[in-house]
Amino acid sequence: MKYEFDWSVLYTHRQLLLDGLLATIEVAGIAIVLSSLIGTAVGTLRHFSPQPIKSLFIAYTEFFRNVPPIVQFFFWYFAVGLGSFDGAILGLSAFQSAYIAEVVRSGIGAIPRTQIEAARASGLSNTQMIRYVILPQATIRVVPALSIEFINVIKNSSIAMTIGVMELTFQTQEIEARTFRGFEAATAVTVLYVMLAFIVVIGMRYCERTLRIDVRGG
Amino acid sequence: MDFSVIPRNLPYLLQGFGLTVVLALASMSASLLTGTLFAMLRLSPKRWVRIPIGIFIDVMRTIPLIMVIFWFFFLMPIVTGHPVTPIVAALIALVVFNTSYMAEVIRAGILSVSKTQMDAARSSGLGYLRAMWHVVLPQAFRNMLPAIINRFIALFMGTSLVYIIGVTEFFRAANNINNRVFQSYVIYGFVAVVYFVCCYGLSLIGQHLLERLDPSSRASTERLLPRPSSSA
Repeated sequence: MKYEFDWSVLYTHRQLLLDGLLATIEVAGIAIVLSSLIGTAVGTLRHFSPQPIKSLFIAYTEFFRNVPPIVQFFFWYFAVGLGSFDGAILGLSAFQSAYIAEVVRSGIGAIPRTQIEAARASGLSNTQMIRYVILPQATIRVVPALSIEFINVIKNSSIAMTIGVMELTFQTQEIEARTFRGFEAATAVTVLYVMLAFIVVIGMRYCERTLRIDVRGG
Repeated sequence: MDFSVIPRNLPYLLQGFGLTVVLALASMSASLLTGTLFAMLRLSPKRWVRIPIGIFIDVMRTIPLIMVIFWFFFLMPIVTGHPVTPIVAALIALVVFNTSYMAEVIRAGILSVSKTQMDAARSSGLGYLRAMWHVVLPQAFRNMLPAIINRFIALFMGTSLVYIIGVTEFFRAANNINNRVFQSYVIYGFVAVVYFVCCYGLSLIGQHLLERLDPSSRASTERLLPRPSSSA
């Protein structure tokens, strides 16, 4: 190996890395919130809707999760003409919300039927039942699967570089282009991605524990 | 909108699509083997084998596929001193990336087979590897087929990312045409429909297999969970 490492580029280009990290957090953060909201809505509505409307939600989930994210990004950016940031947010949220909808749906499906019957018997309306009986119980069940989905949002946000969002992966290329020190930059960025995923895992574990205590306490 | 760009460029698109299929099939076949190896290593009773392999698998699964592709295309030549062609780099990246996921699928599959099967095989005189290969893995494979199909869908979609290092697979082929004729709606719409038909079709096969599996043998949680998203 003839390559001489020069890790100082990480320090001299720390601003690029920091900007990239913030952009990744921003894109992934917004997409996590949006896709959770859309995913929960679609997953819940799909479970409780009568037939013709139900197929609409099924079509949504099946379409957006079976088209690669890069194709969705390019569609919003080049065909529709959205900005790179908006295109990335929209593409990422649509793609991931379809998966989250499936997670939520299976979480709801795992709730015993008796819970729904009990809710109906105690006179709760449909919305009350979903709000107070279904979603709280479904949330606990889906937390582990959701943390995988959130990590996937962070990972898939890297694809936004292809439409010009200056996030972490983009900055790797930038540092490579400026200094030919791609190796060091890629190592640093890889470590940052692993750390972000680690934070999600820790955060979701914490959520899971809090939720469980909450439920046991009634 | 000029829909005729699709039929006019069909041979070129088909060529790209062929490469996409080849990339997906080749990297899946390779990672079935490497994944089995890694799954067995992760189940090893020896801690110095199990722990590093576990770290590799878990870390690998938190890195975006694009980064893995960059690693192999831009960075391996620096380290090894040999340049790699884009298509070789793409294949290696896809195999390495998918190996970590397949290892987990296969590990869940192996664990879904009752331990007594291994005990019975060993006590009838088979060595560990033979018992694994002839007794445990065939049963595990049957249990994990739906999960393997889901990984294949993710991999199929993932091949679109090797576009960035210049491999002319389906997505890049479509992109090249668009750079020439500027029919973004038609072209990206067409690409989306093609990917959708392939991936949705595969997911239907997966669902069918899942339903056909003997319900009494449903020990693996991998299959009971919804399909985890294609992580790229």
